[in-house]
Amino acid sequence: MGRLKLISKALSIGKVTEKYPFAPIEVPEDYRGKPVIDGEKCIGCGACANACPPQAIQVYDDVERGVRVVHLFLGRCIFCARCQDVCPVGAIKLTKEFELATPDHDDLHQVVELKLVRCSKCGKPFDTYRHLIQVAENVPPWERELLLLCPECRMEKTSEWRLWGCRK
Amino acid sequence: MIKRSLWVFHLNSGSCNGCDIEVLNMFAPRNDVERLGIKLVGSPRHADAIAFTGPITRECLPKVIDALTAVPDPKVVLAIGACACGGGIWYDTYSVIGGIKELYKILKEEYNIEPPATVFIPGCPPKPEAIIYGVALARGMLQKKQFAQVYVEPEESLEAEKSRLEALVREAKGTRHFLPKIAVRRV
Amino acid sequence: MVVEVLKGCKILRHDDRVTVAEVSPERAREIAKGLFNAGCYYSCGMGVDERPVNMRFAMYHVFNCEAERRHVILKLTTPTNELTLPSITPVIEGASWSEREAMDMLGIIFDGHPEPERLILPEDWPEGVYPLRKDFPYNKKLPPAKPKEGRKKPRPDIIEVPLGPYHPTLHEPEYFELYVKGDKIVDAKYRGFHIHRGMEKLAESRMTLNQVPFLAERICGICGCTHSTAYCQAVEDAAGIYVPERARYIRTIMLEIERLHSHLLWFGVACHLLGFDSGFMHLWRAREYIMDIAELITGNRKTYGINIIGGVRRDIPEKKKRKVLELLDLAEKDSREILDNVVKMGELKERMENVGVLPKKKGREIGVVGPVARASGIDTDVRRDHPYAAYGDLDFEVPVYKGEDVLSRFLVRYDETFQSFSMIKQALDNMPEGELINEDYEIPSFKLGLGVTEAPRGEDVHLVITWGENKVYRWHPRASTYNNLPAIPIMLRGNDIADAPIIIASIDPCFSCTDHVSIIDSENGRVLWRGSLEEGIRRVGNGKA
Repeated sequence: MGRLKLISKALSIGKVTEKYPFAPIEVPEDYRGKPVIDGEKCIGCGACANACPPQAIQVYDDVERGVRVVHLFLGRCIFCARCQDVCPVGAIKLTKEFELATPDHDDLHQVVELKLVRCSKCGKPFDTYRHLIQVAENVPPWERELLLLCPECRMEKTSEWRLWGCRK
Repeated sequence: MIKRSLWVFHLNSGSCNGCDIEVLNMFAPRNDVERLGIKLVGSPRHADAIAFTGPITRECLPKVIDALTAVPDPKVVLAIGACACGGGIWYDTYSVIGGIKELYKILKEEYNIEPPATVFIPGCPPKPEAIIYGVALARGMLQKKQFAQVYVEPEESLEAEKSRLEALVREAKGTRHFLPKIAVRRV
Repeated sequence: MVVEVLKGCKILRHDDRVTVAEVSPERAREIAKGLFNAGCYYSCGMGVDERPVNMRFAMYHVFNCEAERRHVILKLTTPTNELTLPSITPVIEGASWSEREAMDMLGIIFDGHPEPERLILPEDWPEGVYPLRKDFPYNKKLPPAKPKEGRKKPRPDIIEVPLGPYHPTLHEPEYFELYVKGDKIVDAKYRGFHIHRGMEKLAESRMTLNQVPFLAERICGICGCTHSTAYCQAVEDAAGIYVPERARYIRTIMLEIERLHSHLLWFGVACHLLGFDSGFMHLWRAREYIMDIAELITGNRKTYGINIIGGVRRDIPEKKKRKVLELLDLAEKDSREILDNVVKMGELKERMENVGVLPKKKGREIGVVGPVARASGIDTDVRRDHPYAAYGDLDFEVPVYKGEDVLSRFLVRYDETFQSFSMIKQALDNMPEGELINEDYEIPSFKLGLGVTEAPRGEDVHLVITWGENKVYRWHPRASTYNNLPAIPIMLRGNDIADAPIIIASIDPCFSCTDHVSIIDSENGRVLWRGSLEEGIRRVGNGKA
């Protein structure tokens, strides 16, 4: 008895199968698809790498070439959108793109390379130009003094100040 | 890679079930991949393709290798999900091998087996449509859309940034200096 | 009651939800027995390497006391620089796995344990290496060691059938040896732990506090959201974080959506196992609406990624809410029509009635949870007994059936499905305005927190010990299938082999949940089998096995 009812149900529903892959499908507005780093906007601060649970985004310095590398490996990405949440400049966004399949493993990498500033004292590259500009714009002018020093030299300098009780 | 109907053997190497259910979902009415000639089979000997999920746990490794080598050539591996593509969230723990690339390395070094053709389908889990797209790619029905992206900071913007940074630091020079707190505090 | 039992112990915490007591090892068995007699059942156990803090190892036993609506945690510590603790397994059977787990992972020796054997780690794992100790690096890959030889003598009248780890009936890698006599399974041996991924170690080493919800979500692809909620609740409990009202409602909505998708999935599988494939197809079609709702709200069909410590990450604005209600109506209408049809079909009813009986008394002893317990007449539901998220404000009934068989489990889930529809609607209508997340909190150092949720399969328990520096010191999740699996041998006894698939499926087993640290054995339990993912079970039903 119940079975016959289901047949009429099936007839009334009709065809539900999507035409995909022969016709495109709609995904909702907030779909968490492929993350894309906008190289123009990225400042190389590394917030995304800190937040990324699977370490799909890694940020490291290539000291020899004097660049900071922001490396996103899509294969390991879990599409949680934490990077999008924490990015201070909105450089990384999750798009609606979901057709990411590829036969080539190398296609799954996104790399952004940013030039590093050299420390004005010891000459070691330590931070990107863009990040320093971002920091400088957000602090009052008198705090920008030690901006061009690498963390070690900065520490040395401040301890000197403390020792002498004044800025020399 | 393979032009005709794909018979798929589902190989779970320790995944969380998310991808496995999406693989099953492909056979449900909404996506119904049997219209493309895709069928799940029970034995690796019958299969043309392997729906590979999971990061390959240590316990599974010998069994996965057995199942993988049992599939006759030519074969296609569909690496489904973040775990299979790159080891996922647990890619470097003590009991996980860390994705299909690492497995191929072991196969090459210890068994001298060349890695089979592989389609990587990232996602956690990928939509059923994303898996269908990967299958269609393996059958040569579609072109791939995903390419590597490299951005290198261009020289001209670097110049502008340099001068901007210098200007900002120069502003600092003229401002009043404050003593550090520790020196100001008098006992 | 509980307080009387704990007389003479050092009470570390006592509030309206949780009681934590430090128990001296000599009194452990007496107090555990006393708690059990007072109506508490054993929930889970966690071993901790506390050497960096106090040069000791500790074992936490969690009891769920429904009568007083509280959890009781007993803390046992080893003497300084020693490894021995008394086992409570002789008095409480349910503690067996937890203690073996602690033996494997931490090297604590439980005095008096009936079968102190390796449970979790792979066979080729070297002896004397304990991954959850603090001095073991999480990413150390050890070379394989030679496994210990140890095989049981074959019995002449019984045929041994190896099954797995890759077999058409299994979709997760698991290995069984079935002992068959004629048409009946008389015994089975199980080797699980294929899905041990080292999650607990990963959480306390590489990850930060706010990354773990995403790890917890990946314990299981079907009921991930309850795991991440339970983790967040555990941390919020430890640190005393206030969660905004609106966030609680959104959590509730997502948990119920997850329950709907899980139950509809189960109905489809059950129909298939009973040889009713059109039911399977119809139900999975109706389930797609639920998947669409999840995708609409969170941006992904399965891993919602909505929970974070202190609240949720995504809002449900008015526009989405209307769309969700629309889809929900469609799904409810569809699933009600189909399920009503299914329930009315005599053939299906006959295959489920009086099959796989689990008596109430036995169920209580094992400590079954969720729909399995409710189908055996045990009135238990975390949502009502220990209200969390917004469940305290919602109006719902807990279905309890006294049939003790597969049909009752079907009917419990049937009722629950429609309760969920109504709960989601209530929550959407009553959702208060306000903030989504409270980010103003401080995490205390070395504090224990407990988070409990009702997953589609039963009670999930998460224990967290926080650590400063944005880290967890120890995190121990316990999934519901862990408690339900020991019931399977009892259900199977005296049944036909043809009914085995539906009996196993009737607890809605979720093995990757259980296996995150892995479990299950069957030595004397005369277990079973361990079918795995629904598809696997479904194929057994097809007779392809």
